[in-house]
Amino acid sequence: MKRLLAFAALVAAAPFAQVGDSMLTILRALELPALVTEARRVGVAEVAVRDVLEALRSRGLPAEDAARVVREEIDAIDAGAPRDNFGAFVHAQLDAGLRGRALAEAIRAEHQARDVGRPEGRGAQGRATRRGGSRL
Amino acid sequence: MSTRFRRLCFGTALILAAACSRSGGERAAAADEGASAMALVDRAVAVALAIRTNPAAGDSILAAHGLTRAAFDSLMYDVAADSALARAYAEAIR
Repeated sequence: MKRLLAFAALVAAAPFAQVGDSMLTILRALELPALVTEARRVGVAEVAVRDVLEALRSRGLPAEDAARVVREEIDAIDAGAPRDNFGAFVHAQLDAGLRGRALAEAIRAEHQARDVGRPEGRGAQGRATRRGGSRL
Repeated sequence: MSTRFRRLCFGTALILAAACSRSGGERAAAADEGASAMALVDRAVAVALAIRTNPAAGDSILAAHGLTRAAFDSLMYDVAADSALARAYAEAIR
């Protein structure tokens, strides 16, 4: 976690004043391997990680979108969400046609609907969420 | 231990592990696979560090590494999909 946060901080520290939306997509995509490493660390099954990456890739979604999806899952797990529904839910949303930010927001909404991360910004395991902290 | 040394150790271990787990002619192929995997990480890390230093030059940096946007996305997916490669990448860029 510390490593991921350190990388996110370094990326966030980049001189964004010079950076347009196009470059932000590259910077977000650069986070994908580190985010996936973090997802594995917090307990997402290897098979689910590979399955989701393959599903996103095979549908032509950019690495930036994959980074958003994985980040949402990490945040949800940090907030106490179960680790066993990642692949199935992402597949369902992809099949429904969701992409990009809408896909990430659907994952967030699904977890919130299960009451993850509440009340008062804390999850079922009592840990504070870090949503919004290092997002690009 | 320096990041460079850790990466060197990781690369060597990857190549040796791949080579030792097979026999005969497969060993050379396995060693090639390990070296190729490390080259993938090295390329991704080089791109990441360069872009982090100068994000405004992102497209130029990708081009300098012979990458289109699509190829760059593919590189990120390739590294992310392999737990060892993704970990090596995360270590190298932190």
